[in-house]
Amino acid sequence: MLMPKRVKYRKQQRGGDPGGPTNRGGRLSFGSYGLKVLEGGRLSDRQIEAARVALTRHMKRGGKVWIRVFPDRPVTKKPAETRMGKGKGSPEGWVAMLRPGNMIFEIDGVSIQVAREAMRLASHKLPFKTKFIVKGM
Amino acid sequence: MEREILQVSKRTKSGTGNARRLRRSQMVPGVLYGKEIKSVSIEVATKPLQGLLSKIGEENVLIDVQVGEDKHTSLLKEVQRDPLTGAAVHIDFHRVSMKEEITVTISLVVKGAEDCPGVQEGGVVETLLNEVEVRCLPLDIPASFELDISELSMGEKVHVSDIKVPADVKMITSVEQTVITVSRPSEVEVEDATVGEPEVIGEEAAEDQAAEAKSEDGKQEGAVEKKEEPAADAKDDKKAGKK
Repeated sequence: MLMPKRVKYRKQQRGGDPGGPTNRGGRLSFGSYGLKVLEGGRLSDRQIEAARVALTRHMKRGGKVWIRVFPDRPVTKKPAETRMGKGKGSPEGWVAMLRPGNMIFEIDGVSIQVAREAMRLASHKLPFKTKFIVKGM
Repeated sequence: MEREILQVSKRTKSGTGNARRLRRSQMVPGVLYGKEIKSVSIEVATKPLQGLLSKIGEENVLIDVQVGEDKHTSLLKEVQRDPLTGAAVHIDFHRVSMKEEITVTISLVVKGAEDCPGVQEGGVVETLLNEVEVRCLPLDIPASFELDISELSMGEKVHVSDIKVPADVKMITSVEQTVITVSRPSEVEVEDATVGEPEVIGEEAAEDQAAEAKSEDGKQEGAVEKKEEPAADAKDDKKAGKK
């Protein structure tokens, strides 16, 4: 799963609302087809991996996939049935903070029908509403 | 080269508020600029603009922009779009001189990808360059460059130098750059599902780890407290029962 190789601090504060719609990181930069998020929030490393597996399985290893987001933010969790206090919980995973309009995946080298179906399958693994984007349209 | 005509009107009010008011009334704000004219703020009706954009995309098509009685031959320089809906929110037109050479980006169209021997062997066509920069007169701008890769084998490449360019068009992009290659598909890596720990940089590492060790001790204490808790509650219940 995706995670940083080195970090300065193991734990981070939760952070607030990632913000409203943005054009940054929202255009097709590599492939001919893309998957854009229409909502903001956290996208975990597990969700990215699940969506990537769904994408590549449908494409049957043909074509090329670009993952445009990176989970660089640690998320901590306290163990079950623990009383409050006694410090912050231990790191449980990594998330990417997304804003509406960010492109998550880009693919190329497959037909539009295959790309659309692959992106549909991948979008079911994500916690956001998404939109299929085609280059030049 | 085909030409399009777009009727626009001058815009007198500027600023965010006025631009938003315009968009609500089904107009798109824009600007027209160029070497021989002073920049003009313009507004375009959404419907004809959408029709034009869906017809030409964002290609280099000469457009006769009519501002009142003046006609300016221009190129579509930039279309700002809403990040979610994709609707045009602002448009830039660049007036061009018919006698001066301009630099434009031309898209590359790949043909014969399905028939090429490399793909039939199981390879993947990887496009490294989607467009190239050329310099020419506005009337000589090519719509696109076609690349036939039907004879490309596994591992072979197409370079910018292989693109057939008309005599009156100068290539600006480096001719040594690779445009397309047919490569073997990469193996799907099976990764460990467990969450590892990244390396912590600097002094904070030692402090953090010490704090972590402390908090883990705390958790164990918490667990002990939890175990003791039901017993204490049971005693209280017994006391209450006696009373």
